[in-house]
Amino acid sequence: MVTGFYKQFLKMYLMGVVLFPALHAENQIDTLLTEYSRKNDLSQKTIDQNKGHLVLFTRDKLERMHAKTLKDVMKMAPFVYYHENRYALPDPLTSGAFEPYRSNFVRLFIDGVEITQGWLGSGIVLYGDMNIDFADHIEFYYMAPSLESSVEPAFLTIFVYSKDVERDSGTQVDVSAGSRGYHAESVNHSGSIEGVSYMLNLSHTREKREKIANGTASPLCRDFDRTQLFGYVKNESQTFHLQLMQKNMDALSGFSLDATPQNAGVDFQNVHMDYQAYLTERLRVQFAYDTLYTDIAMSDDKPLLFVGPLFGNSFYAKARNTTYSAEMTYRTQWKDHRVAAGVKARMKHLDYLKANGVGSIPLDFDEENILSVFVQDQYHLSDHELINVGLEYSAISRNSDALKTDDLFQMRLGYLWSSENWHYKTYLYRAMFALDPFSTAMNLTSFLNLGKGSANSVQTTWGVTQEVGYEGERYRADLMLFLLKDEEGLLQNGGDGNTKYVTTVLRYAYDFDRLNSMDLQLYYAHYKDIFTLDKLEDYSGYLTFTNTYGKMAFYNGIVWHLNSIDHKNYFDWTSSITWNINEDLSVTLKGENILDKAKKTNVFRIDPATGMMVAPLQISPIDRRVVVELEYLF
Amino acid sequence: MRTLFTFILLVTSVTLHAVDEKSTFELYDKLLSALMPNKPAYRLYVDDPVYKNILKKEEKVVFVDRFENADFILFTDESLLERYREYKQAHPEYSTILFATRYRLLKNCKDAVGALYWRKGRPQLLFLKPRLKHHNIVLPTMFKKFEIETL
Repeated sequence: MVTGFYKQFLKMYLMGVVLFPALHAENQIDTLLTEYSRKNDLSQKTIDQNKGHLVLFTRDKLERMHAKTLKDVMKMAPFVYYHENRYALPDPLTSGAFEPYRSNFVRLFIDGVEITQGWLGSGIVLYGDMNIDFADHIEFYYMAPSLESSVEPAFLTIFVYSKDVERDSGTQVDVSAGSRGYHAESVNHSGSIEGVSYMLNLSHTREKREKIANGTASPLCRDFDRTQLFGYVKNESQTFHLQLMQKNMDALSGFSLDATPQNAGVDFQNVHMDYQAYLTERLRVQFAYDTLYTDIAMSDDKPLLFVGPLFGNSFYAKARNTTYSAEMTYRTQWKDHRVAAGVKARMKHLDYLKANGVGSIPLDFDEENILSVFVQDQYHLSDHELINVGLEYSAISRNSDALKTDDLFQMRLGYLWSSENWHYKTYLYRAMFALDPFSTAMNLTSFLNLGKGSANSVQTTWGVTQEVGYEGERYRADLMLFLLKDEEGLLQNGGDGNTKYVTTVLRYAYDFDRLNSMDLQLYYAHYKDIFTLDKLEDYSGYLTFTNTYGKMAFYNGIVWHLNSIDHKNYFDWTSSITWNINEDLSVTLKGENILDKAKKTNVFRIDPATGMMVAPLQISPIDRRVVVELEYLF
Repeated sequence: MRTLFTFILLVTSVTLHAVDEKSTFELYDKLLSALMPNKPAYRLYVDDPVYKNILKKEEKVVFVDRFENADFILFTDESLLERYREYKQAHPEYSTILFATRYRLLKNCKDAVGALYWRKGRPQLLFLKPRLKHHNIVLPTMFKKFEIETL
């Protein structure tokens, strides 16, 4: 009876969501406002389509999705989506196996400056599920690494841009509470004084997550408590950013080989500061400082992953690493050429790694330096056509006799064409990647246990990518096609170690009117020789509807996944209803993973006693929950 | 023709106040004619150089540099609102059409008839009925859905 009513209600609700927009009447002012909105969106100031293939989440879209964390957005980003590894850290490319971290090639930038965790690699480690109340819009650039922006090679760069004082001055308070005792609070304040604008965002999240049964009386935990501060001060030519984060988390299976830890926890404290200045119209300099304190607590009744016999079955350690980055970029226009050249340097230093009862743990090296030079030319063939050529050389050196300098050569060649409604772009590129220093050091020393390995390898990726798109008055459609090959993959893969893959993304967005729209995305990927598989096929997509009726706003989105590993369909349905009580106050009821069928990731297990594989745990990084949110703007 | 290669440049966060001229002009053109339907010329007091540059394309626009000569004042920042308040205090009988580009300016100025501002990534257009009535303004039908009684 109840189930029948529930299904009937659901059917009527979804029918209403789909059919309602057709009843809406739009007048000339609505049309003008739609055009005004599209042309004046802040993303129009930051988008650089030449960086690669763009997937954009505008402020409007983020607000309608009620995206509170980068995780809410990444779970809809094709190719990577959102996954967590066996330590409950954001790791979109994780295989679920025993590697320390796999997503070093996904790089995160905030207001154009990379957030890095230095020895741990990509900033995604800590910031992959950060609170994004400070963000205006988010750009994902795929496949063609941007030589201008990234110190280290990347095949996906995520650019988060903060809110603009012009449009968001004042104070905003946001509180939410949800299932299992989850709660989050955020305060955002921004303004400007005599040409200097500033913003400060302070947020706290108490994330109470679903526990994972592991066959013991102590299920796996991944709760965390996070306090995050983001701030900037800027004028016409200079910007200073400060970011602080403290995150105390349960680390799921941690270092336990069979995912039955007695204790698994990590505390992080991170500081990021950067300063950018335009010395002249053409010359830009940038300095960044990142430091990360890590406090690790792992124990089990059996030997631990990575940890040698010296430590027994427990590993309690403290570490700190610091990264210094500097860039200088020169841009100039010469006839139809727009030339950019620059030099970038980064030093990653492991300040200490100390274990309880043992003291300092010697690793094979404790410093990694990267020096890059690049030159890029964008040549306008005509008003409609552009050719792009870029070359970059990076040298990675470490203070170790066991490792030679890694020489990375990157090249990208692009052709772009645009007309009134159509656009087309294609790239040929060659990129080279190295492991993050921590993984490199682990392969070499594995905490004094496994002896020296051969970590001093670099991966070469070749790619040919294409994109064609059309933009009509009410709709936008585009199709992306990527052909890629990873040679000498850094992480263990099957076959000859070279992974070949084809991926396609089809996107379609339709605006019923100014306040009602739908988005569709379909994704297909075919991999040959990845992880330990000969073949992997991956299908996914999403369908979203945003609707407004008077003071009520609705959002419904379903993310779908299917792959050739288990041939199971996964659905992650998110739905929200917002009551905009007045211009200052709104209340939202949001359900996430409502069907409890969101995509799951394998976490592999080994029985330490026998060395045999045990059936992997299947864990979804998306929790099922209901959240009530209250937002007040002063 | 739409600017081709809008997807090149557009980098940096240094441009704090970029506005698309065409779409902004089209909207403000409609707003001005709705708020001042029978005026042979629009005498505007506008401080902001960006808006000034856009609105000068309207043939009927004449920029003035004194409040007392203005048919319409566009509030774009707090400092202009402060100056208006001081002037109004000295001249309580003064009355003209005030319009804002930020919600806070509309909220903080009880004389403003409306605003076109950004909230949560969307442009919002609002007119306050009592304030329109005070100026005897009757908006065309296409603007009716943007009229509200109070904030």
